[in-house]
Amino acid sequence: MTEHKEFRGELTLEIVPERLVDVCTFLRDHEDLQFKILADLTAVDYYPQSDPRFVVSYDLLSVYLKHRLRLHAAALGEPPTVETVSGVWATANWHERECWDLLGVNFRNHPDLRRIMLPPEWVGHPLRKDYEATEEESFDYLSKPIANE
Amino acid sequence: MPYRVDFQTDRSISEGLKRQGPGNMIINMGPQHPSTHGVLRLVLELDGEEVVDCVPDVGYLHRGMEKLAEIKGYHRFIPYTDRMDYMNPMGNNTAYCLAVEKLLGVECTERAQYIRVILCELARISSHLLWLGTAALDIGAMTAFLYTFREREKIYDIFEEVCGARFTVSYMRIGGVSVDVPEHFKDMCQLFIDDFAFRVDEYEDLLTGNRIWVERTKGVAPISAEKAMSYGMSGACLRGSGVDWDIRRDEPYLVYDRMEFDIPLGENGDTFDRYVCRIEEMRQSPPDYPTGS
Repeated sequence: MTEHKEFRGELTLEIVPERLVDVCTFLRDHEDLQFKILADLTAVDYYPQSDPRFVVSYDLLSVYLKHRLRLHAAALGEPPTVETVSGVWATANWHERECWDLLGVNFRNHPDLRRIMLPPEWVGHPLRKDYEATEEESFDYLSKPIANE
Repeated sequence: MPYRVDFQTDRSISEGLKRQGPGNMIINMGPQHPSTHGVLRLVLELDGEEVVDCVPDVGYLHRGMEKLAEIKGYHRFIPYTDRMDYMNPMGNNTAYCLAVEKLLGVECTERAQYIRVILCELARISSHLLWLGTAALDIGAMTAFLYTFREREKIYDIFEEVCGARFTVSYMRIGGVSVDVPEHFKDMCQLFIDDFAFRVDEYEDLLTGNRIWVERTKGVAPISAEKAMSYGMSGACLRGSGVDWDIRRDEPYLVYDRMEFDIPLGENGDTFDRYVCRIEEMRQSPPDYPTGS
């Protein structure tokens, strides 16, 4: 752990990415912590800041002890990479796929890191801040040529 | 198949199946299928009538809400939250507004908090009713579907009186609600609540002791508590597996800490237990409202 901060009653720990899986396993199994549920996993894009540009965020919940905790781990490199936690919580498998699909964060040792929301041939990662969103996008179905098959 | 004409079929998806038996059948289900109630593709491995493995292909309904939110501003995003779960727009409105209010460090008035809770609970019942009706419909019990939709209409009548919309309400605002409830709101709710307890008995008469319903839900798809938590399940699905967690009681928001209600739990974590939990939640749902307007 490198830093902790509290905002509006929510505690966030910044942890060393190398020890991510150890920390998560400890948090899940320790009897005073019991974070059995990974409520959310996502990443934050701090573009144009770099090093780290991406920080992966883990929202943990203990239903037995009724407490929550958020972890932040910096994703470094190109593509930005952290270790997978899909071995700690099964739900991380899909969350990490989504994070890869939409933000382009790579999860080392993930068993099945494919796109999940977008078609496999999609180019780019739309939730990155340098991927432009426009107010209205019109698509003219009628004038689009119909493929002959 | 998606609507895009240039879409290439991804045949590799079925390679993820275990293929446990030589006689097992591989079937593609969806993305358009009457029982998916939405767009979802599943590649199934069947041993007779039993699904032994499944590779889901999701994303057909992905609308890029986070990206839209980047350019919309906080207030203009509220109508999008209606559509995140179109069965519970009131709840989604509220969750979103509570998050923004938390960031701002503000709290809405007590009256608005009660209004939010009442409408969220009604939406919760309506959502449970849709689940119950369509689940029964897909199993082959058409009557329950007609019964539950009758009561859903009454809830939508209340919503319409409150905000003009029945379905996608966009009623909550950051810091409160868009407009005060009408004068006869309390009477409408009371009328619904008085009638509803009897209606839940009706659903139970149709299903709980029904042999077909029981055979198709009891022992089907059991999920252990450990597994349910590892997969991050929530709500009635988590409670069906016996995990005693309800966010309204354990992390009370709005005025839920002033309400009293029981939280039903399942034992076996099968479809039947999840059904029992939801039925009991509908009975528990209308909490005691304060008198006076």
